[in-house]
Amino acid sequence: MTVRITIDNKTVAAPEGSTILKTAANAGFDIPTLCHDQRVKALGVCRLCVVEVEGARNLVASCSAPVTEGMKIITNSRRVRASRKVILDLLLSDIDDGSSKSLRNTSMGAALKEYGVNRSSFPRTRSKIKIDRRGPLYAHDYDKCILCRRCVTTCETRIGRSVTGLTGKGNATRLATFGQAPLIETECEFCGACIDSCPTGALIENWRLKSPVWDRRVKSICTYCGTGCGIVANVKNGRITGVEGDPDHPVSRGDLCVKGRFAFDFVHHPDRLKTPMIRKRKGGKLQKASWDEALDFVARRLNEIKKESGPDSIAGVSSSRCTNEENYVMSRFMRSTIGTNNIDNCARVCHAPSVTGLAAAFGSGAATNSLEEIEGAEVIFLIGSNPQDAHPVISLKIKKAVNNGARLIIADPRKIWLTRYASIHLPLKPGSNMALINSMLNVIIEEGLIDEKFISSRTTNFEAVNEMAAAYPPEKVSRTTGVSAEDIRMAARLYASSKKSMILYGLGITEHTSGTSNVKALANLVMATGNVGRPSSGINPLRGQNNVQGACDMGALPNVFPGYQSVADKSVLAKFAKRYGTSLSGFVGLKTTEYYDVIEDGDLRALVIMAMDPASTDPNLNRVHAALSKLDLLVVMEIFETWTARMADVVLPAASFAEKDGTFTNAERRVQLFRKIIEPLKGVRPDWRIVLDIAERMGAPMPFSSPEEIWDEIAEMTPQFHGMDYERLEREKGLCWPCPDKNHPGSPVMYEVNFPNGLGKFNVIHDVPSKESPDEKYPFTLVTGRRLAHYNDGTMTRRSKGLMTICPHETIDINPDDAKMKRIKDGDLVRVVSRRGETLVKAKITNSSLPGRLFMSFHFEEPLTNVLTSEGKDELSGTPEYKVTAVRVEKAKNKPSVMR
Amino acid sequence: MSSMSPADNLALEKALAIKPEEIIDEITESGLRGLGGAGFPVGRKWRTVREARSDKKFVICNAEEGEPGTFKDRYLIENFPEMVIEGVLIAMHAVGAKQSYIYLRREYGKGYESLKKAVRGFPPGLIKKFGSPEVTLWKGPGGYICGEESALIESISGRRAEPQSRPPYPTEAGLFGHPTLINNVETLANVPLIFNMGAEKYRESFKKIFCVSGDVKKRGIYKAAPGVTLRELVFNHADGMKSAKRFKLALVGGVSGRVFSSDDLDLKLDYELFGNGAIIVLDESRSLRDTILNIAEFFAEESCGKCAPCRQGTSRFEAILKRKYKNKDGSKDMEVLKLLSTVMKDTSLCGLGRTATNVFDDIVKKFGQEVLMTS
Repeated sequence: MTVRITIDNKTVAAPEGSTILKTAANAGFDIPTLCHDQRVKALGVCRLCVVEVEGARNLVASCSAPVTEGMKIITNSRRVRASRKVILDLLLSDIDDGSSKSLRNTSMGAALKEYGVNRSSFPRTRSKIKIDRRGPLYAHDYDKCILCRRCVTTCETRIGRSVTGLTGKGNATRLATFGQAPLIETECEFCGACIDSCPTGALIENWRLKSPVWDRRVKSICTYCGTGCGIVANVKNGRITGVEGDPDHPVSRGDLCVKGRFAFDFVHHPDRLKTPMIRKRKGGKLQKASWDEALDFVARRLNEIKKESGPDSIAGVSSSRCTNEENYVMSRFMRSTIGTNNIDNCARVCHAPSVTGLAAAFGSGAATNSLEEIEGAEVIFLIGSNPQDAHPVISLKIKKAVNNGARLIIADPRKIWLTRYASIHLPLKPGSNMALINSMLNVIIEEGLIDEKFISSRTTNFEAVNEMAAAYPPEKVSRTTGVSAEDIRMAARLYASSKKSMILYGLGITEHTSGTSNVKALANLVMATGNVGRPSSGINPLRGQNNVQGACDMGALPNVFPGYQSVADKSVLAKFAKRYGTSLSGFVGLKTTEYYDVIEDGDLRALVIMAMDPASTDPNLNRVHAALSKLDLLVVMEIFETWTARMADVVLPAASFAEKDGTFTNAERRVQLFRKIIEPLKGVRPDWRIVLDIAERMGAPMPFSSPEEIWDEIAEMTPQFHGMDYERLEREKGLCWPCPDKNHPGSPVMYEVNFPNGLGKFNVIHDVPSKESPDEKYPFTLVTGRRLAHYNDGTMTRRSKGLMTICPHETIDINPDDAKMKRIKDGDLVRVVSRRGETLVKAKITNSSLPGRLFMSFHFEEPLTNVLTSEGKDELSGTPEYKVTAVRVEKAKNKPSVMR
Repeated sequence: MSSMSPADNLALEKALAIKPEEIIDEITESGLRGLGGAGFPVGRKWRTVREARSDKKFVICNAEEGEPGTFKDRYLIENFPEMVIEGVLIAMHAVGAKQSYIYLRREYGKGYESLKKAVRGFPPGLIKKFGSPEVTLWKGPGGYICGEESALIESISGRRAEPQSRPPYPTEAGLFGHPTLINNVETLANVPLIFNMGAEKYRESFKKIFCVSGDVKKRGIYKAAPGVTLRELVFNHADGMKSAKRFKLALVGGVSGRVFSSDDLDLKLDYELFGNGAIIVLDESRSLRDTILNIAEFFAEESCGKCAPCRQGTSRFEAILKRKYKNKDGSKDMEVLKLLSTVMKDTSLCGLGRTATNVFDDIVKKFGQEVLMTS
């Protein structure tokens, strides 16, 4: 119902129940407030937002008072302004020396200015409180705290933690952690949402204490996970001094996680590679060289090898960490300059099964919905993903949905943090995803919860899947998954209960021998319930790196050109051959996970790697290291000396994301343009430039002089990007593909009318057991994944002092019962042994690991977790099974000199 | 105290015999109004909770008697605990609540024991007939603010005792988010009387409890019908001033109430004027400045610290009164205090901040600010 009210003599309509403040703000009235944050419940604490309401004896706090029919409001009378001024004056009296100077650039500072309060006229009565600098990333300047509680409420309701609260009463009320503990000893996840909420700068980043002013502020996109959050970087004297969330960003709306907000120090870290290096002879040392020497060396050796052994003896590795433009030139380089389809990217070891699996079901391999739609979902089925650590801003959206009444189903072998928000947690045995999903389908069919209309009008092959699902009754599946039949039923019913059921999944689905099948199984579930092609539904892979989606979209894959145009399609091949002015190979190339076999056979002699560190992130590293050292030429473009860089013959120092223009495509297919924040460091070049330089020296120059020119060719050659150009991307804050023409608004929701192939296809899938299972000798199952404070191989985050304080070393997470059985105490050094290798690591005893299951990340070089991991591979996509490794653990007696 | 004889459970039997709606009709008929200070019609409040849709409802008896000069609830609890509990039980029955809390002021140890004894003294059969409701004796954490009903609810919920913005009112979303009826001890203790004597007779014979303290001969509890004058209470009931000193003023409704000077002695004290019934009498020897300072200290101590005008205002009010005045006669400071008082009244979140300077305002109005300016 709508009510009509009068604000300052203007009639305004508003929905019943909305607050005066919100109504006035929507109507363009400016009412000041310090304690109100529209993202959390109104607090009515600062009272600065008071207005006059006709008939009310006292002034009314507009933030918490609802509008009622006929209400007459005056927002700016003398009485109101006088009251606000006194309140500001009162608040200021307890801050520092009562002067407004130290509040400059804060929202309180702005209010003081507007009301002409420069110095408090009241005596200070609160005792002076010292700034608490114990936090690794930010400080509490309690003396500036006006007890508005925004940080407290934000942490409690939005973040789901309660790091600080209030203690004392009256004028002795203080913001405090429990027992005044330092932040590092609390459950703080250092997301910094509290800093954003603070109107006075009482919560302040350590960097800001050092460097409060800037020369320039530049918007960009976070370089970490695939959420693609917006950042604003402060630049002073050509250096990035700090990073904040971008409140106008369509995905993150100002939110960031600990990495996005704080882990930017790697950009200027002294360890950055700044000089090219060449290893002139095998077994020799890497030596500094000039760019000319290094590029000539690479061009000469590549030409020699190509001549000696043919183009297919060379392979490229492109990167989900690099821009779309860089991935495109890298692919074009391999295809046209070298003449091979041996080009792949690091999505191979993460989300390749999403591409194959979703394409098999829908005809296109990407997320079906946008991330913002999570907030509007009624049921969220989160499987094989730990967004709290790996995609914290997506986790925020999930929490928001649950706070709004959505039900959350979590299927994960670990008791991940978000389970506290879940209605059901299905703690399935690692590797048993498909049986579980098929069993949910079984229940949905058995109980008549399918969407017959959707199935008959939009899909094909349901009959075959119907038959398949019959083989997965919950009682039977309960035995293989370890999840109770009743829980399977409840989860299935809950998922099928809404037309706004959204599936979010991660690498717990894809990094299995059954990776592609798992994805297909989820797609079956989606189609059976008609949960696709509508807002807040669908199936959505959460991408681990900022440009996983883009690297694949750009054709950095052995079988497709940009936009998944097949290399085996003659007309496609002809189109690209014409554009590139050269003949192209129509044979599907090798996947990265196949490279090692071919290297061992001697048929692959040279590898050009752009920004990937397979020597620490690929599975079964002992074998990887052996294979890499067998290469005749290993070229690595990197920003730091990774394990792979140390093994390279040529190392080319690259620019970081902060030093270049380009586009990244996030998990929701949003192509986002970002500009360089700073000039490239002295001595480094952007990867796209390096690739062009090599191509030119090999005698096949490419016609580009800027990322924008590269993008224009991508858009020209790829139907789904036809409508995108830099100008539009900048103006419209990114666009979700497909965007086939200049007037197309982009596609946050896919398949609303049709699937690319017309009908969606149900896929019959069969059990693919994990490559290995625990036995007497290796009784535990090791699952690997990510930790909040670190990222991938850790080369960037391990160079952040603050993040290293939060998570200084790797641990193996073990259940208390297992630890007791093994006589392992928290912090003990333990030896972890798999069938392929062993490593030493400190034990962490935690209930998040269930009995028989262990967890490690791969963020550290010591221990090098991937010496342990399995070589099992998904047959269709080649993606390794990082999530199931049989190991044994024992308390280490003494520390050997070599950790591997 | 003839009409307040210990109950023989007759009221409970009578209330049980009629429908909950009829109980509320009876209460409405009796004209009973809230006796904790607000004077809200009790029947209307009960009906709101009765009609609120919820699977759970609560009744809370507010026995956090924190207002200085008030001791009527203590008197009732210690001497007539059965009547308080009967009132609670009837209220629960009427509004449809299965759980209730008697939120007792921390310092009322004796009252706690007497309530406990009384609860156990009810015949089990009778309690069963009421559907075996749950009555919890709840000791408050201590603090003036706990008497504010939304703060009291927060406190039972396990949070800081802090007042909440209204709406929603407790009758819509109170304890644990459910509709909640909160009545003062005296209000609930009157409920069995209504059933004992019938609404009509009750209405005619109703008497309010006044707590007279300060510079009078006989401090204590006095019952009088609304409309009684301060003169009658002070000079008849309390037997006049303690010494030969003359009456100067009375704080009616405690330190957050209003100031009555000798000009006001013949005003009729009805619901709008008597507040919670506390009457603190001061004789001519008392310093008005000390009185104001004492009250200012009290509120600076008792402000919960939630909203800015009250937290910052009460402590600044105290500090300004205590400091050496800025100019010789203190008139500048008086202006600041008056402005502060206006803003606190106009913008504070709850009654504490809105009434903390009532006495100051009245004294300035009735005695002139000069009485406060000379230290």
